[in-house]
Amino acid sequence: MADTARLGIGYYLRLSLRNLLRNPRRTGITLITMVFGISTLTLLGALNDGWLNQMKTNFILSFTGHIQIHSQGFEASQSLQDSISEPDEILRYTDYAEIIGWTLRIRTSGLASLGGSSAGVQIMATDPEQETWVTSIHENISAGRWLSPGMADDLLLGRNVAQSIGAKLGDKIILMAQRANGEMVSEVFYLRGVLATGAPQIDRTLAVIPLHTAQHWLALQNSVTDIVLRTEHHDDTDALHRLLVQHLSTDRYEILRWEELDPMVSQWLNFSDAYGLVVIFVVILLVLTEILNTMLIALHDRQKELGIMVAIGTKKSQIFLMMMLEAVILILLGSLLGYLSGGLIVYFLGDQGIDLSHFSNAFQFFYMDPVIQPLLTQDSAIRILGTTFVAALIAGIYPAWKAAQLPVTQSIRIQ
Amino acid sequence: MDTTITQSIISVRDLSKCYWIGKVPFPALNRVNLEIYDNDFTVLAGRSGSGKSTLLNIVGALESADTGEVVVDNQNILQMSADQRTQFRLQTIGFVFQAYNLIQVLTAQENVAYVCRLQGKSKLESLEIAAHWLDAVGLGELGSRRPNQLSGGQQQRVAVARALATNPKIVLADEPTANLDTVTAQKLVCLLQKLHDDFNTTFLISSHDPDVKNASSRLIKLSDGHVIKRWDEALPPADPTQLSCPIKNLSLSQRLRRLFEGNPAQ
Ligand SMILES: Nc1ncnc2c1ncn2[C@@H]1O[C@H](COP(=O)(O)OP(=O)(O)OP(=O)(O)O)[C@@H](O)[C@H]1O
Ligand SMILES: [Mg+2]
Repeated sequence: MADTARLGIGYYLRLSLRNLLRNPRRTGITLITMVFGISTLTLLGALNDGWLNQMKTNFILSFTGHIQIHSQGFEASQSLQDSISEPDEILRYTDYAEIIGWTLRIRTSGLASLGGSSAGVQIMATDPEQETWVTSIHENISAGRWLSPGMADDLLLGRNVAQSIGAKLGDKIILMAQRANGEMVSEVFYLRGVLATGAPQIDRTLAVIPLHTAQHWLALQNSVTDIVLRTEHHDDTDALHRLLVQHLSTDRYEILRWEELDPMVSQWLNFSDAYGLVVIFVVILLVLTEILNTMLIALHDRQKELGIMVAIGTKKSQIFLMMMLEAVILILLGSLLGYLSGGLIVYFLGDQGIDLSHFSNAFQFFYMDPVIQPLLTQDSAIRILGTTFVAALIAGIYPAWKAAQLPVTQSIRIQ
Repeated sequence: MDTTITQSIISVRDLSKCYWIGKVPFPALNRVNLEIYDNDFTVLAGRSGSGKSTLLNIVGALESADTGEVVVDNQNILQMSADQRTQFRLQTIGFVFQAYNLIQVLTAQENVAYVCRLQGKSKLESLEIAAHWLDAVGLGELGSRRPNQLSGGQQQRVAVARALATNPKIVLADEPTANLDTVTAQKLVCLLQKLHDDFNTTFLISSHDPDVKNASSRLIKLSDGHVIKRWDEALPPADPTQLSCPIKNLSLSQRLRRLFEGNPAQ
């Protein structure tokens, strides 16, 4: 005979489907609740991921790049004594496929003065051409222009720095700094541009000058303090980092990823993870209570019938299977439809994003954009669908187990 | 019916069962002894609460007992594991309960076929057997209806078809007519009797219904968990002309019998 003799999953699957359709209102309400909850959470997760991604991009592109290579100890000392004297040695590795841009920098602290007023600044000397491959500083100019190759006395100041010393474009500004040997030196620059990035680190402290000028002025010859690399995708960072750590002496160099370059960054990454956990927690609670509730009501309604089924020879394992399949069908439908409709909302929000600028000016700070573009990532899909599934499975197991354990004679006596 | 060479198929010895609600005992059966013979049509009578359902449930391996011994079809059912009892119910017993016997999401035919499928028969064969038994109970036309599209009497007849479809040794029916009106109840009793006459099956039925009592070859009366009276052959044999039997076409069941006999694996 072609038919399988044993009553198995196929048979009880059909029975489960019919049982779900037996009470379309209850099944419908359960599904709608699940779809509503999961699509909302998908959207929230996508907003979180979109926001995180924008912040990453803004952070990386505004200043730090994906990876910085310093002489060992520079990140702690910030001293010119800890500089890289032979950057060419490292630049040999910049033809790795992951690297789409690099630049050399000198960073040191100094003082900018105009007339009687002065302000502490972080001096960043960089190659005018190379810098544009790595960061978007050159695009965030509120007045004037970016460094011009060959113009040795060009200077750009952060918006707040320029304000505090009352500097206007074209003003002659004196920068003061300390050489590696401790000698204080000063140099004359002309303000050619004002930077307005929204990042406090830049707007409040930065003074940008050409690399060659700085090397000469600070008597550093070919030395630099930072080699800054940009990768094609944020996700390439770790792979490139591993590669560099393999090839470069970690005794001589510190090779730092973007999230290691700012203690604040790891804080907001943690915050974002915590947010993700809260989302997951809500998902779990939602599907757990929803499935548990629906299945326990179904169990209650059908106790007599289940008792009869056992009485006439159905095995407990078959009862368990039938009830479990009901839960699984609900879960699969609910979570897939939920994720799909969440995904559709994200899709229609699309590039337009959600504009939050009406609500707050706080987005000006901290690398946030006022328009959040939600982002659906594979990670969040796996996270939401995976957790939903596991939670619902757990929620389905209990009623199914209970159904299999029902006291038969008591169930039969129900009228 | 030949009662001279009968042998015991259900044998109950000193059976006691007590329910406990908290620390309060509710004795349901008290040292019950009885013997049911092969191919008997026995009725268990007794007032509400006298222990009829409890006894049927124990004999049907649905419920445990406190003390005593119950041998059904040469099997000591109180010693069985849970799996063995499930198997025993499936192979040896056909159940008919008071009401709401059927799986609501299955059609009448699928309900009957379900037990055949549990026994391991193929889908096709099961549906065929189900169709035959629905014919035998006069519901040949209504096989595709769901229980909620059938009257109470029709539902009970489907349950009877299901009880017989596994070719059981014993049919246990706990007040099968209690939820039916008098006429419908009468028809069902008549059907049960006809089926009993046609098939080599023992019937043990609990009932208050006088029609059911009249149809029986033996009557056992329970009171407060005791067997108080037993009429063996005391009643005149039921007079079929007294009951109006609407079931015709029972030659069909003869065909069925041949179907089973020609296939000893079942
Ligand atoms: N689960 C239970 N818990 C406590 N007592 C019970 C339980 N089931 C039955 N009983 C008690 O056991 C006794 C016998 O009950 P049983 O159901 O066997 O009687 P019955 O003869 O079938 O009655 P009825 O004609 O009303 O169906 C009754 O006193 C009843 O209250
Ligand atoms: Mg009863």
